[in-house]
Amino acid sequence: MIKITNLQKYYRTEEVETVALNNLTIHVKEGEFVAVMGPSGCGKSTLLNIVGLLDDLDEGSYLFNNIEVAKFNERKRSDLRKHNIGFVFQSFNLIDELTVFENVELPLVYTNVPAAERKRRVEEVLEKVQIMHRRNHFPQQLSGGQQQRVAVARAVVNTPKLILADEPTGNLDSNNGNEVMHLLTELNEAGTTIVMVTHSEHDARFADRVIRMLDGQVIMETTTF
Amino acid sequence: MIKYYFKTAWRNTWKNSQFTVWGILGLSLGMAVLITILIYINREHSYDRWNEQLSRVYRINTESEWGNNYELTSFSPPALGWYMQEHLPEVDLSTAFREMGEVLVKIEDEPFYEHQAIVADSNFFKIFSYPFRYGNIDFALSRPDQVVLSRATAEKWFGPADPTGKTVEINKKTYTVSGVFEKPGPSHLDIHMCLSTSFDQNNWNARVLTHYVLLKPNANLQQLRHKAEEAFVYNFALGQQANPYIKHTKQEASETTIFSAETASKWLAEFMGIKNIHLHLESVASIHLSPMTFGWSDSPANHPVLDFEKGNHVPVLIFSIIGTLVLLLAAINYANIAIAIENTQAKNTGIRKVVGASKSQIIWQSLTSSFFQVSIALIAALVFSYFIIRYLNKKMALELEFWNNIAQTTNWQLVGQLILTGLVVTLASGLYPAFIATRFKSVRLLSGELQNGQRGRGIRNTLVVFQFVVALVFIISLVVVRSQLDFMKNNDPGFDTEQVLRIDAERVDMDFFANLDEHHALMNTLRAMPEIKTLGTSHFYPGKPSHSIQPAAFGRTSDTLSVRANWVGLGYFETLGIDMAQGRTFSEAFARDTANAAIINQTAALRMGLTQPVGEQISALGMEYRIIGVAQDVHLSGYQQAIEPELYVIGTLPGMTGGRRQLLIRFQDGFAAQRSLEKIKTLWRDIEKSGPMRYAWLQDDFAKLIDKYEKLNHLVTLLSIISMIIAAMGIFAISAFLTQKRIKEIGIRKVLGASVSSIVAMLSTDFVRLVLIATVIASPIGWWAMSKWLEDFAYRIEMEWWIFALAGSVAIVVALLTVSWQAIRAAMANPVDSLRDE
Repeated sequence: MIKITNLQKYYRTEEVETVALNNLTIHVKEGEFVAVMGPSGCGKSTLLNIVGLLDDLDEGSYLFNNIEVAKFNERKRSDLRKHNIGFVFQSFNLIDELTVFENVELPLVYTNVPAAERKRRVEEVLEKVQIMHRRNHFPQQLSGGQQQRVAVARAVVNTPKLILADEPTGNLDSNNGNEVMHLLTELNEAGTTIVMVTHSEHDARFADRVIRMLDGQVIMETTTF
Repeated sequence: MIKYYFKTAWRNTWKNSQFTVWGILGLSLGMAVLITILIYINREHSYDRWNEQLSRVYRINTESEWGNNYELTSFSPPALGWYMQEHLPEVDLSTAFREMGEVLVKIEDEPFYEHQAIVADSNFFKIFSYPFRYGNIDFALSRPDQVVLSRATAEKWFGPADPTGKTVEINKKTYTVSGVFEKPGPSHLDIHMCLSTSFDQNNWNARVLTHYVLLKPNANLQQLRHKAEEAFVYNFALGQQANPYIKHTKQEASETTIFSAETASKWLAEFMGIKNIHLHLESVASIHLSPMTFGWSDSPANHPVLDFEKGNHVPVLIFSIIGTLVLLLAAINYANIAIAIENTQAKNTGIRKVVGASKSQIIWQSLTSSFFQVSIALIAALVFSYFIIRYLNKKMALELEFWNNIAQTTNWQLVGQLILTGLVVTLASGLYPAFIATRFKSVRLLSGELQNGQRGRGIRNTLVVFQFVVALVFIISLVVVRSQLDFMKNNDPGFDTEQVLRIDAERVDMDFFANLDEHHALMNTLRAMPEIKTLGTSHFYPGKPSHSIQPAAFGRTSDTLSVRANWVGLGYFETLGIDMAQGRTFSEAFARDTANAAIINQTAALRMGLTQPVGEQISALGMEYRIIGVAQDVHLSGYQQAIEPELYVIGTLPGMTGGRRQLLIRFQDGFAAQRSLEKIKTLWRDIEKSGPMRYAWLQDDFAKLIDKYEKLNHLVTLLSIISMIIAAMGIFAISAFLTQKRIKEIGIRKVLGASVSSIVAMLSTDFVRLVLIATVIASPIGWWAMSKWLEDFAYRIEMEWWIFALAGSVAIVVALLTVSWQAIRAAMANPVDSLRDE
């Protein structure tokens, strides 16, 4: 599904050029659950942003379902993203002014899904993450774990083929964290590909494969079972 | 989708209400000013538009030169209109009218005066298509002694019922009401009643009527003008040649045969000294806003019916600029705040992009938010403008109205303009935030990197400076207008109007050429009243200075000087308290004072070059006078015009136009003026049967000269306050935003030991600096604009440095009060809270 070859990514300020990702090559197969680990600043999040087409790469090739997307413009990226990729962030990134229902509905609104269909699908996914009873609450009225479940619901409501999770349990206590990990596992078992950045060895154990990074390079890949 | 956009717009507005409320409020104030100005401008542009035949209606103006005089008037001889209608194929109809000035009306033995009356021929309402409420438009003026009333006049006289067929006495003649017309909109003609008449169709001599012609469609204007002008010149010359009252000094004048327009014009130039006679067709559509000025010597104030106040296009232009400027101020404010909010919203925009929002969806969201807020502002603006209009109507005697009940087109025009304004402001203020939102990559938006207060600082500062420049220019104007007004009110004009009553006796039943002094019954009774100190008669008075400009010859070389002549009676100078610089005033003790004595003022003496004018001869008004005194220069015409040479005579000769029909009465000190007035009113009723006493306090007459500056003062005050409020709201919101952004910095500084005052100073300094810059920019602009304005006054204040310092100080104080409130609040907060928040 994801074939990234010889990826280079630099960050430039006025005086310094920092290499964020250096000659990086990774492949993720469809249905896989991959965890990316490494110390802060090793480039995990940058990698995830590039995989999610939120950021562009400076050199290298990125095949998404065998289509070269490295040179896609913003409109094409946006298109590909909204139909194929769901995101889960450490800080949840819910919109404060929207209710739980509306937050989850958002991706469907942008893909012009009819209202009745939206309602059905949002309710279905809210049931699945067990947050239906709080559908009319605003994010700030929820606990961290609840917020992250909403974020997961939003990520999957469009039934994406790929979910990118950036430290999804980073802001949660262990109980809530476990719940979220179980949710992700269920999704993966149902066929969704998951790439997750994490600091937590515990969380990484839920993945099929762990990629370890240091200073913008992959230093080790392990299979967890 | 649209529903979603609006829902989000509403929630965003609400969530950021501490900022948005100021933006919306400021915007609504700016829009309120614009709405008011639009209503004013629409009204100015709607003059005569209600006339269905407007494009074909023209007024005839005539132009001529004699000697050093140039005249352009809307007057033409009675025969002209008739001739054009009968002989020129381009003309469908013509009509003529003459103003009657004030008329004495009597209904059921109750006499009263009415203004705005005209006499017109039977075509008048066929050309001016006033809709008739009662009566038949075709026959309304077809018989003699008919009168058509405006609806307001009819209701005042007879109540709301149909008054046609009722009779009314006007100027001692009985008229039958034949119709009642509506005024569907403003017109260059302001008439309350129209009396029927027919004019002399053979008189080419006297230019006394105002003519209008209704042209056939596609008539050739140039040809028509040429033909009418030839007929006018030819017939005018024939009339002058045959006029028995004109004594031709040269034999050839009577003997020359005038057989064409060309010979006529030569004859007029040679024997009458009249040159360049022209006739002009002025489209009625453009009369009200035309920049043409009548070079005419009579005072427009004497002609209340016609639109002689030319130059109406100037205020329209100025107000258009002001309206745009104030709206711009408010829109800038709004955009400034929207940008600030957008920066805080960057993360949300990032989230939207991540979950699939396209560029256009982001832009639409941003525009919907703007549209939503602009709509709220527009609704609030309508409410504000209602109050502004009420204030202006009251203070400036305007007749602005929101909704015109008769002329619906002006209403829809306004609706259209408001929608357009709303859309333009939406686009102007919504596009920039939208642009910011789409320009950055989702990653960057998500990180909230845009939430840096330094971003857009240059633009923001420029906009703040601009706002304060505008507000400061208004404040400087206000100070200058006020100072000039104070000067005009408090300066000693050289005469004393206090406790002086003026009675207008123009209609007193006397021989046309008689003076009021000859009304012995009245004058003797008044003189006997103990309440009255002095009494004088005059033709002109302070507030209505002489406009009779006459050549006066003096000295051995017979030099001539243009003087303003006034016909006064004994006691004029004493009653007004005008002192003599030399010689004496008119006196009963000298028999010849009533025959050939004259008094001049100091300016006249100076211009004549005479240091001892008393005893000198002066030849004017067809008489030889001996100068018996020099009056001190006084400001009879206020401070706008320079003091002119003046000549005072006691005119009693038959044939002299200057009737002394203004009675000036100075009361003794110690008598209650109001009670004395009642006594005189009773006297008047008993002795003088012509009609009710018309009177005014001379103080009010004189104050009328500065009336329009009082109005300007009200207007500038309003604009200063509004622009200052908008500017203050602007910095209030921006400082709130910036303070919020720096809350962590403030916390750190406090932890490190900064005092509250040092933090307030830190947060306020930037704004004070901006206001100082604005003062530096606004001062020369204000100085220039107000110098132009002050040029209108012959006597004016000097603009001194303190005016600009004062304006700047006001702005700084307002800015400090606005900003420091935020700053103090932030500085007083517990730093632990702010640090934990981050």
